[in-house]
Amino acid sequence: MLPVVTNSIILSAVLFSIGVLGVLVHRHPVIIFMCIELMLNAGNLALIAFNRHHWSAGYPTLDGQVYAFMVIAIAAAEVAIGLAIIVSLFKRRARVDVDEINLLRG
Amino acid sequence: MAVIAVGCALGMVTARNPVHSALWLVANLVSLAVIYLILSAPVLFAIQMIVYAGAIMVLFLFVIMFFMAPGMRQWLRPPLKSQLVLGGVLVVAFVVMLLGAFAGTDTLAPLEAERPALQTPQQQGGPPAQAPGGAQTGTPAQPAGAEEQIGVPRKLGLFMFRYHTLPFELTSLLLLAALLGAVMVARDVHGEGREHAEEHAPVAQHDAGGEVAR
Repeated sequence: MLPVVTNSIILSAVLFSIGVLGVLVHRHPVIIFMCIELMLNAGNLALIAFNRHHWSAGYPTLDGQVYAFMVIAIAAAEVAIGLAIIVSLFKRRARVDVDEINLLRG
Repeated sequence: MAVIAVGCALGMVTARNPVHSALWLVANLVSLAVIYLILSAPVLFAIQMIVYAGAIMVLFLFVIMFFMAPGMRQWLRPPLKSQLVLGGVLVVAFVVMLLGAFAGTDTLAPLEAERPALQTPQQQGGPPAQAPGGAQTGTPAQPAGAEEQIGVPRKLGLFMFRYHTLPFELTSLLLLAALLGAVMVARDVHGEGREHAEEHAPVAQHDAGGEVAR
């Protein structure tokens, strides 16, 4: 395995774990969202690294890069929806703290 | 680059202020984009820069700055100490688990040996496919200069529209649905807070900008 692929996958695991840590310890919904973005990026990095690993001249696959492209698009959609939800939360209450948001209805 | 990425991620998690956190995340995304470039994915490098570091982070900063009124500082409570310790322990265990799983699979062979070769035009003229064999851990021999050609836009586009056309179209549908959903959710349903009505339009516009950039 190429050393750059190995390093990228290790980096991806570390970044994903940092994202998990952020989601666990933070209470601000926007920061939690950014940590989710970090985890998505770690997943993308793993996809691209494995794509690089599996690519060869006889098998010129780009599946991983296409999937990463899709993941970026889906992440954008998710950010739009999530931030809209956060905006409506900010409008309805003065404090926004994920420990206190436990109802599906406003 | 990896060190920069990890450092920025840690800075993001430890920052108390959401704006600082967002700026750390931008730095992290840029360093990740450079790593994509190293992994011969120039298209994703460009998309990462434009969509993530551009559109998505603008959306984040927009929301943060809109709602970070000076009086709102008090709900930025620090994380609980016990939560921090427990989270740190869990995350270290998680890293060890992931790396252990990765170390256990050192027999990853390129897929070429197991799958029929793809019928892509750029394959013609290339070297013949490797003979199917057992697990080979090394990369197969490649012609010099081929590595720089892995993810060039032309090849990625051909590959995507040849093999992944339907998911691509579904992605566009999903983005449209997300755009409409975001507008609907952020709208004032009950009519309260009419004075904030001008906020909806900029959010929707940034959203649309992200989609156009894609």
